[in-house]
Amino acid sequence: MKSSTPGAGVPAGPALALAVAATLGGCSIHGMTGDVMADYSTEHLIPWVLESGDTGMACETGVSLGGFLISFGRVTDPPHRAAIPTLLSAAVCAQEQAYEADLRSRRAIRAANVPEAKDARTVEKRQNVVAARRFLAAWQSTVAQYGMPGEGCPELESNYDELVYTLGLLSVVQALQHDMAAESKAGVPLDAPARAARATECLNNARWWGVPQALRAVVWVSVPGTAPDGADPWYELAQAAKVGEQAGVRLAHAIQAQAAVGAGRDDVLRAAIEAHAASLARTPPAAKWTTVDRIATQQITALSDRIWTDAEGHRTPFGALGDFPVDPEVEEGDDLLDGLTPEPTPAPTEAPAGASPADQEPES
Amino acid sequence: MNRKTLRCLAAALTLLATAAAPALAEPVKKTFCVFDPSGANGQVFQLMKDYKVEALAWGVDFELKPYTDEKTAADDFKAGKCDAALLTATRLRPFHKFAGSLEAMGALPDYAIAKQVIESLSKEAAAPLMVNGEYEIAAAFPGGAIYLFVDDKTLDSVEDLAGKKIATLSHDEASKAMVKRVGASMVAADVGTFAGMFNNGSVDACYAPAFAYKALELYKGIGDKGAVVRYPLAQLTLQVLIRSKDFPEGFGVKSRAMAAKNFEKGLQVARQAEAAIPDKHWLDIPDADKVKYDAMLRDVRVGLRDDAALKLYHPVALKLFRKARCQKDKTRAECVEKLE
Repeated sequence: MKSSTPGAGVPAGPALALAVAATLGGCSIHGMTGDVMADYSTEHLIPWVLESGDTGMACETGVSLGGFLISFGRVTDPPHRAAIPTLLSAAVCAQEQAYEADLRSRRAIRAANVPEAKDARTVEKRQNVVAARRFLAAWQSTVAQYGMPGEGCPELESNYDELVYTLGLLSVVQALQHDMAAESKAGVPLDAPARAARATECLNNARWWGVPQALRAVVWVSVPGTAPDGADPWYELAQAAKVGEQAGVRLAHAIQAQAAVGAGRDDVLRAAIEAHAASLARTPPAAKWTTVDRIATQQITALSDRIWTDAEGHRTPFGALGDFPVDPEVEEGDDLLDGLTPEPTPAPTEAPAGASPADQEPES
Repeated sequence: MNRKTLRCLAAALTLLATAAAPALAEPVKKTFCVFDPSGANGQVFQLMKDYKVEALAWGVDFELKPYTDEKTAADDFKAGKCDAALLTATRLRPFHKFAGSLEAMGALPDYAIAKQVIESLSKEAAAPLMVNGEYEIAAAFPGGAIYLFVDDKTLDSVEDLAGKKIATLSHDEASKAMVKRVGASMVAADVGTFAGMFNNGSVDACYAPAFAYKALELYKGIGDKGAVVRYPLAQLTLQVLIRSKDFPEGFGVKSRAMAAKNFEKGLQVARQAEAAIPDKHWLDIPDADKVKYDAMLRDVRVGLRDDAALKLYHPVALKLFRKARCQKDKTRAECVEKLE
C-alpha cells in the first residue's frame, strides 16, 4: 500500500493533491480498515460462523455485517471473497421468512381463508425477492472475483477460494429459484444455472460434500436439455447425497429434496427427508462445517413442514423429522385387534327436517 | 329471559343468519396437473400457485402437480388422473379445437390483439365457445410471442429458408406444415432437445419464445452471425383445461375473467425476456416483407383449417382473430378479402 503522508516541505497545494490522490487510491484510514475487515472476515469471522452451528446467528451476522463489510468496496478493493458467504447467509434469512409465509398460506388455504392466503402469498413473494437479490449479489461477487463461471476454470488458490466458489455457484441456483417464485422481480440471469452446472467441474466433489455433483444434477432436472446424453440426474443426486452423509455436511440432501419438489417426485422428496434424519442420528456434523450442515437440516425441515402442513395443518412435530403424516386412506389395520373390537355402530337416523340443534338438546 | 327462551332466540337467529347468507360450501378438492418445463420451481407453476388461491374463492381446492413433460400431463388428464391440466394450445388442440387455435400461426400478431381476443373470450357471452363437449377452457394465460432463431442473419426472407434445417416440435402439426410450405427440412425435436440442436449447429433454425434465448442459451447458436427475427410467428398460450361436469357451476366464467384481468401480469416474463435480448441479436424485417409474410401465414392457416385430413384450426376462431386484426388496422387486405 502507498503511504498517505505527504513529504515534509512539499508546498500545500501539491500536498493536498497528493493526499486526495492517496485517499482515492485506497490508502485512507477507511481503505485500510476495509482491507483489515476483509482479511479478518475470511480468516476468522467466517470460519467461526461456519463452525459455530448457530444458523440464526449466521443469518443475522450476514444481514447486520453485510452492508458494513461490502461498503468498503467504495474505498478499497471490493471484499468479494468475504462478501460471498456473507451475502449467502443474509439470503438464508430472507429464505426463512419466505418459507414461513408459504406455510401461512398453506394453512390459510386449508381453512379456505382466501384473503389470508393472498396476504401470505404476497409476503412470500416479497421475501423471495429479497432472498433472490442477496443470492444474486453473492453470485455477482463470485463473477467479479473469479470470472464468469462456465467458461473455463478459475485459479482457486486456497481451500477458502474453493469454498466460496462452491457457495457462489450454489447461490445462483437458489437465486433463480427464488426469483421464479417472485415473478422475476430480481432479474436473475436465466442462463446462470447452466453456467454454474458447467463450473462445478472445476471443483473436487468429495472435498465439497457432494455439492458440485448435486448442483449439476439439479440443473439437469430443472433446465430442459442441459443433461448430457445418458445422464441420470436422480442417480447423481443420490450419489451426491451419500457423499454429503459421509462427510457430515448434508447440503446435497437439501439440493436433492429441492430437485424432487421441482419435478413432483414425492417419493424422492420423502426418501431424502428420511435419509437426512437417519443420517443426523448416525453421523455428527463435521466440526468445521456445523453451520452448513444445520442450514441443510433447516431447508430439509422446511420441506417436511410443507408436507405436514398440507396434511395436518401444522409443521413437522418437534423431534419427528423423517416421519410423515399418516394417510387415513392407506393406514393399515392393526392385526392384533382384528375381531376383538366391536363393529362400528350405525350412524343415527337424521333429525326430522326443520328440527334445529336446540330441539335435539336434552332439557337441562 | 330464562334459558329456554334464550336457546329459542339463538336458534331463531341461527336460522335467520342461514337464510340471509348463502352457506359457504367446503371447497371441492381437485387435482391440477401443471406443465412447466422447469417443474414446480418454474415461473408457470408459481403463477398457478396464485391461481390456486383464486380458485378457492370459486369453491375449488386444487392440488397442484408439476409436470416437466407436457405429453404426460395431457395423457394423465385424458386418463382422468388429473381433474384439470395446464397445457399449451398446441397440445390441447385434440381436446378443444377452438382454444387450440389460439396459437395459430400469425393469427395474433401483437400483444394488444392477443389481449383483446383473450378478454373477449373471457366474457360470459363467449362461454359456449369455451366448451367443447365435456371439455372446457377455464383460463388462458399468455406465454409470449414465438420467434424464429437463425444461425445466419442473411436468412432474412422466407425464400432463404428453403433447404435449411429447422428443429420442429414433433407434435406440432401446424409448424410441420409451415416448414414444408417454405421448403425447409424438418428435424424432429422436443422441448428438451431443440436448443441443443440449434446450439451445436445440427439445425439452422428453431422457433421458441424469447425466454429461451437466455434460459436455454440460444445465444450460443446465434453466435456472431445469427439473429432472432422480430416477427411473432404465433402467440404461446397456457390454458387451463377442465371437464365442466367436475367443477362447480360458473367456475369457468369466473376463472376466465380472472385470467383475462391478469393478462399483463402473465406477459411480464415474456416482455422481460424480450428486453433481455441485445439489440445486435434482433433482426428487423422490412414492412413490405411483413405484409408478404402476413399473407403467407394467412394462406397456411386457411389451408390448415380446410385440410380434410388435419382440420387443425377452428373456423370461428380464425374469424374472431381476423376481426381483431382488422379492428386494429382496417387497411389490411384481408379485411376486404375475408378468407377467414
